[in-house]
Amino acid sequence: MQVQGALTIKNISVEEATLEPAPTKDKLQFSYFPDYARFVREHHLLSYIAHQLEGARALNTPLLKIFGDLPDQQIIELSIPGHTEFLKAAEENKLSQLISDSMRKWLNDQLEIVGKDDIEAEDITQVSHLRKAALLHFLPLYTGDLTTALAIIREIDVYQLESDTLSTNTYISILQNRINEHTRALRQSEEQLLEAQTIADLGSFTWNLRDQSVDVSPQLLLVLDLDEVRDFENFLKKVHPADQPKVRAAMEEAYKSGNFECEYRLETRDGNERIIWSRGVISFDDNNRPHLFKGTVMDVTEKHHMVQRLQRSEELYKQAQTLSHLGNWTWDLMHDRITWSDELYRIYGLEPGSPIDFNYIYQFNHPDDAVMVIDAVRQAIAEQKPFEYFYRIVSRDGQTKILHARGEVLVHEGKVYKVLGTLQDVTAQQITEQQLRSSQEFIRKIADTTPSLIASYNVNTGNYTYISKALKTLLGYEPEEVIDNAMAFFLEAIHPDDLAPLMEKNKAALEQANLAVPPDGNEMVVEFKYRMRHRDGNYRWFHTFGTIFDRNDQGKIEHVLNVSIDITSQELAEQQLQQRNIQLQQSNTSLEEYAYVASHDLKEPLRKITTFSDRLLAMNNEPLSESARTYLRKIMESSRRMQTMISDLLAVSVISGNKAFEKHSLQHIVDEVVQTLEYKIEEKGAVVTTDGLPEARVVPSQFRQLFQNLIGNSLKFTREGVTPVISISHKFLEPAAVRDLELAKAARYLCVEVKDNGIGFDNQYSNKIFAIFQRLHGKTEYEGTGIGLAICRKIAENHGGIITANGTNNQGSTFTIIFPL
Amino acid sequence: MKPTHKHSVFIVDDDADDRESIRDAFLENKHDQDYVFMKNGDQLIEHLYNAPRKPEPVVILLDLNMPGRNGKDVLKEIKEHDTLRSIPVIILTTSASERDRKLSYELGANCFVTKPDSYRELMDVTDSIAKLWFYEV
Repeated sequence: MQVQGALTIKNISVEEATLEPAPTKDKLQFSYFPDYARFVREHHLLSYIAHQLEGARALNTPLLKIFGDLPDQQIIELSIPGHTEFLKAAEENKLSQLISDSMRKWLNDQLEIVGKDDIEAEDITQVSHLRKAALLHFLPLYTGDLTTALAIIREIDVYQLESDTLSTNTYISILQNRINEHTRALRQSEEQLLEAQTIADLGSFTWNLRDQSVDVSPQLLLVLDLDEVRDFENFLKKVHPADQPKVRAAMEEAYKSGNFECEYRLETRDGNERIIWSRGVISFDDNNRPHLFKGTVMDVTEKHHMVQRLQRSEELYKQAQTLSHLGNWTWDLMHDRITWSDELYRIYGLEPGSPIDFNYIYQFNHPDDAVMVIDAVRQAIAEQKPFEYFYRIVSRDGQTKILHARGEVLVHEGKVYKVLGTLQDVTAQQITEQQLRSSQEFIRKIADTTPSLIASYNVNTGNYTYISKALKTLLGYEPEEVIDNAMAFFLEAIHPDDLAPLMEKNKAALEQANLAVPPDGNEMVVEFKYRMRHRDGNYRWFHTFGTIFDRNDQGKIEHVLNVSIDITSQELAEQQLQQRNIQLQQSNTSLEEYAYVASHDLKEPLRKITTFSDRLLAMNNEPLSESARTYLRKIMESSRRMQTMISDLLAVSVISGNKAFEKHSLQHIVDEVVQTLEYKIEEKGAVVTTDGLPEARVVPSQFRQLFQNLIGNSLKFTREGVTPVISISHKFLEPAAVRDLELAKAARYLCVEVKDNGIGFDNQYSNKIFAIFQRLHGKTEYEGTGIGLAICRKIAENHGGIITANGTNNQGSTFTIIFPL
Repeated sequence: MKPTHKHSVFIVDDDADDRESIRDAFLENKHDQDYVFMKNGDQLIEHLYNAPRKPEPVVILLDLNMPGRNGKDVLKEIKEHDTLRSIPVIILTTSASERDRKLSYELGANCFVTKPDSYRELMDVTDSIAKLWFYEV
């Protein structure tokens, strides 16, 4: 019988459920949960229960029915002992004990408030969910420390998983017991029926298999709705077509075993369906050939409601499996036959009842876990021990699922003949857990991988709640080493010179932050720069950004979050830069000094050359020859020339040093210069004109020199027979006009032109003429060392400007100075 | 203006050539005095403070740039001294700097002369100095 067949498998499962190894004592050993449980029990017990009740009402948990219309207050009071027991067990790390105790009570119907059968599959998941939610609800009140919170959540999850699995298993075994009860009841009825041969709807037959003659009771014809039974084929035609193969198979089995048993449907002549249950025995002759087939037929249509009830129980069982995503399986090693429950097919994404074998299901294993699964089962068989493991499969529809496998082996005469167990799809649980863990981990990873030191502390207790791993790289300590005494650690590490100002600034910032809560929630960020001592004894510079992490209900600061970056290299670079600047200034000063001294000292011997040459010339008592006097004059001339060059060099080197900028009228400067050069102007008969130059921020002495050199140049390089005309004019330029000149940035630029009608120059030399000691003309033709224009360029550059020259041979030159105002 | 007796003219200069050139320039103009050479300011100050001062300078020709105590320090010391301040001090230096000239006069120099390049100019300058300061005492 099919139903019975299925039950046989389940009977073993029931055994398995009862055989389920009692959890090893205190298997659930937690480190953080106990203290938290005590916290909840001592401070929040009633609201903890109320929280769950509220949740249960929202979900309309079936379990609530047992409380009927009791007011909340009473339900809570009723629930106190149970919840207290749970929390106490958690405190004492006896949760596994508690779970197995309550499972036993449940199985034996010894629960205090609820009856064994009052609990439904839905209750298990919902109660568990509500309890976890309630536990998590009080967590923020208990700790602000991420590590502790995470550890507690993890431990609650472990507990929940254990509790849920055992609850589901217990529930299933309760269901299975119920099914067994039904089955037993059914069997009893069957036996009674068989024994009560006199019951009207039971017919009997004797079938001679050798001559095919059939002898039947009148009841048989009634039961089978036949007029006569001629032979087997004639009978088989009456059987429902779908059941004919089944009857044939049962017959064939009976030929071998001698026992016949089959249930099949029959169509009566009035079109109704009847369910017939038939049993029989085949006797064999001396030659071991089938001889007589004696048996009974019974109309069990009426009795079928029992079976249907049975099936309903089985439905319930299947439903439980679906709800908990738990399927069971057996693997008959003798026949290498694997049997799965419907839910297991669904977990694998397969049609329930479709053919499976070991190789077929093996291919669904996740590649990374396949070997592990094989090893685990192999080991279980070898050691003949119960097993439990998690593995992943890729179901037929491509989903990766995480399965929780538990199972055990059945041993007969020292050999494993069957392996059976359950598989639970825990993907959702694991994913939730993973998501929680990964989001926590994500934040933790960011905090721990960033090179900055992240730390938070409670301003009231001074206790640090978190210090990131960067502490190791930045200061040489593991966070765990210092976290318990971090305040003292930091105060000790901070450079003594920086401590007082730092504390003062911090205090002021906290006081200010305590004055008011920022309306937009954006807490201010305060920055500190200070040194802390590394484990190696060296101080490092830190730039810390501190902000308010959270505030209490009164809006006062609770936690402060500090992010510190190591700016040692920056700070050192800055210091080095300052050092360099000072050095540069010093070297500039000493360079100027050097130039001054050098030129001064260089001039000394030259002066002596001149003086002594002169004394030679002036000697009256021993007069020199004319050629000797010529040579002496040449020596003196060269010496003088060199002295001038040195003076000029000195003048150039001094320009960069003088930075006394002031607002000064350029017209005034030009007037002064013209006055100085009056003698030369008159001598050359030159005309100097200006267009009324404006004021500008300049170093007046330098601009005086500039104009003196330029006007002096124009007066020097005049053309024979042409009245020298020197015109000085100006215009203002906008930034766009000077874009390509690489000038210092300004809103406006002044352009001053000094133009003459002298001998001019070839424009190919327009850049060269500004080089130091560069001369375009022989020194005999025109006096000067060739330093005047170099000085002009230096002055223009000193004012952030440029000077350009434009000339045409025998027509004149134009010098243009452009500088920012 | 003929000298009745020889005066002591102090030439304080670290440059031996200059000391001699200056003396020669005086002598060529027939200013026949005792020319006392001092190599630096320290030597001069030591001599001045060492009573009795023999010889007593009628005029001091003082260079500015000297190793050790430079001319300005010496000038300052003399001109701030109760009795020494009456000795004429003429700065005779290579410096042509306006700043040096101004500072020297501020410190009480009686004259500031830049050493001329040519010997003939030096003779002119020393002759003037001699006429102005050697014989007035």
